Amino acid sequence: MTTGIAPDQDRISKNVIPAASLPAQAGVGFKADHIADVFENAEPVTWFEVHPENYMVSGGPRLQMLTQLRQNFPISLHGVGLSLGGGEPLDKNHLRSLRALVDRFEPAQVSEHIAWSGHDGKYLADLLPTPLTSAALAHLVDAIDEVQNAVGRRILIENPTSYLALPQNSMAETDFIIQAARQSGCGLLIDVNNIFISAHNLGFAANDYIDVLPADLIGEIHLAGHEQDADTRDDVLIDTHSRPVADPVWALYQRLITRVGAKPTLIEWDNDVPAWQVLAAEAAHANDILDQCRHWPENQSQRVAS
Amino acid sequence: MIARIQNRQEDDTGEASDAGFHQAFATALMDEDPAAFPAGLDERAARRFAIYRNNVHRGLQEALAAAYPVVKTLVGERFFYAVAADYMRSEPQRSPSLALYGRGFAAFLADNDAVARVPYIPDIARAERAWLEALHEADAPAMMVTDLAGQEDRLISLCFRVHPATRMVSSNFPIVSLWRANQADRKQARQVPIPDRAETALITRPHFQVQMTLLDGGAGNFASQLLAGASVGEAFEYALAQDADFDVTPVFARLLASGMFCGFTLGDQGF
Repeated sequence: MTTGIAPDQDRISKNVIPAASLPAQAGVGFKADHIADVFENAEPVTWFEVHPENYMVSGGPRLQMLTQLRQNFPISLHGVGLSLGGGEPLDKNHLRSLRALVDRFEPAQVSEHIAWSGHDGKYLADLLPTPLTSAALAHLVDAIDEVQNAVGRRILIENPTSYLALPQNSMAETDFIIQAARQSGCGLLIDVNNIFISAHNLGFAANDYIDVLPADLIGEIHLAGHEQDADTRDDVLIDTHSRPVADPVWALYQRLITRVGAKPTLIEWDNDVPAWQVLAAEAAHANDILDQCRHWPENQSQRVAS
Repeated sequence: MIARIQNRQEDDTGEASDAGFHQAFATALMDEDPAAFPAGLDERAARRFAIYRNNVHRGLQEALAAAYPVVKTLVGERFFYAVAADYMRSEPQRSPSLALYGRGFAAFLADNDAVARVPYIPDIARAERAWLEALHEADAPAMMVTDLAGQEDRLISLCFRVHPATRMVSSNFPIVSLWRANQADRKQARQVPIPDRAETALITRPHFQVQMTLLDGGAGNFASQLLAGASVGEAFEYALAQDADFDVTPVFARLLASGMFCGFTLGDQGF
């Protein structure tokens, strides 16, 4: 005979009406260090994003904290471990773990990267470059299809940060990501900082990339800070998520949403994480730009038309 | 010397070589030679390959450092990251979640000749691993002392169900004292003398907070029997046989208060 303690572990967010989608406002990447500020007054932040991999555990305080967060805000699950651009079948255990989190937390958005992060069953803990080839595109589309079936919903895929161009690349990255979305039925998560970094590192015009992205595919935008590589022999930018969003990235962001309309916009700051007020100020800046875009009449008509 | 890792299935079309591409890229990422890169990259791309390499190595090694902060403090950063680099090649991570990275690190340390000169290090690693496992284990309400109300006459027959987040680590070294003295928030505190003795760490997670409790020899004997499913009476007899002075009452109270159990049964009486 066991004790009669009633289990109260099912008090998850089942009583919360799931948000149909993220608000077209600023969100931030959730950090445990900010929990007190977030629950006291999250203004102007209205939603949060987390990496599902960090919550793929049996129980404990981390999942409890996410439960509390979800009871107060819409959340987005932004994966780093599915390895959609990898050369081998998806990890079925990982897919099951993701599905379990989607069922439990009912996120407003689920997204992943156009990248690979493991090979031969070994996890490599980084977002590695996917070849821009028709074979890789076909593999990516199949992988997205498998994920969307496994989690029972449409996902978004994020454009990569590039440090080098693979010799076998045979397509423009914009063609590659747009075709991947069109063929699989998924949407795009456009990381404007990634575009800026890749344009700098590979030598293309970021504006050209921004200007061809179809408005109907974009479900979310990411903004983050970057740094110059410590190796000064080479003028290369690193996607560190350790700094405020750079001015030229804000300018690209404004250019994008002026054309495609207001979209849910995430500030990512994962290293040298600042005080909550600093992060909230970045979110406020994004909201200012989103508000400006809403008040331009020509954009209203353009958005209705698109 | 520059090592070029060949694509195993490279062909002329480029298209069909994607499988070989992943293999060559992954192999070069983990190569011992820091200048290794996959074949086919030009000079600038080969140099920039190091960015991915650094990200991969840092990602895995920082996950290990987060899991074993006291080991890192005790052996020093330089040695820790050198061992972490060996470890990441020796025991590849399988899951894309790094929350529980480093399962075999204590055993890996025990096999290291340099670590053998500081023999308590592997046991500290076992305690840190137990802590991490306890942190992420399944949820269950902990049993409280008040749950035993009405069982006073049958205490000796009781057996306990162990809470999923309970771990016990026994060592010939003072692992709990060393662990406590090297917590980040104690570093500034006055040096506390480390006793020269064997210690047992009981790790539990009451109210979602992991805690480490020091058990002396008798308490460790008693607790280990309860964890193995023995009744209170059996565990008491075992502890008494090891130490005739074993005082069960305060030990039993501490164990119950630790949250190490999540229920009880009336043992062989069949309830």
